[in-house]
Amino acid sequence: MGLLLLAQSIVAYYAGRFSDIFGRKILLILEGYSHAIVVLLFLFLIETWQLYVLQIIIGVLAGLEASAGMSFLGDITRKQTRGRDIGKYFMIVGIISSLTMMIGGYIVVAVGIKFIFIAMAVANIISSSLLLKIKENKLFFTANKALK
Amino acid sequence: MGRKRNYQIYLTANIVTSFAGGVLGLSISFLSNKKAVD
Repeated sequence: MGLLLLAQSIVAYYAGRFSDIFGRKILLILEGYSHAIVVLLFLFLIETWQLYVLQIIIGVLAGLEASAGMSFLGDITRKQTRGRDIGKYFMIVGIISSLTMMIGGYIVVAVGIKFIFIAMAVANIISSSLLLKIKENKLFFTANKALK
Repeated sequence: MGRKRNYQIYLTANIVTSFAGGVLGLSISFLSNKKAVD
């Protein structure tokens, strides 16, 4: 977990800078598809060091998601209702995550750990495909690129 | 209008991953502990 957090923290800054120049959408989509691949790699773990490598990669992806996702939420919400909208987002996503975590033990026993990793990969692919529908203001990021 | 649409898409996308995400965290912890013991 320490490795994951360290990687996440270092990447967060650079991901934020990158998202200012190239846009949040591309980073979020790349993160989602990469996450799907990494999650599937957990099924092929043999050595302990491979687990550490995957934890670091997940940390990198979490850093990408944290910076690009938070910036994106800022972009798509109005100043007047930003707190409410971002709060609503974290409430809904947090409640669902916590509920599945609470019954997670039973689910793992019922369907097996392999199924969980495959389900997560599928969920990430669906989620990233949904993000393809986002319309981003390209002019803003092109202007930022020119400033660099 | 575009902002609201983007918000709905982003929220839906993350709801999809959060269903599996909670269980995934547990599974990774389980796998990590198992590897550490091995």
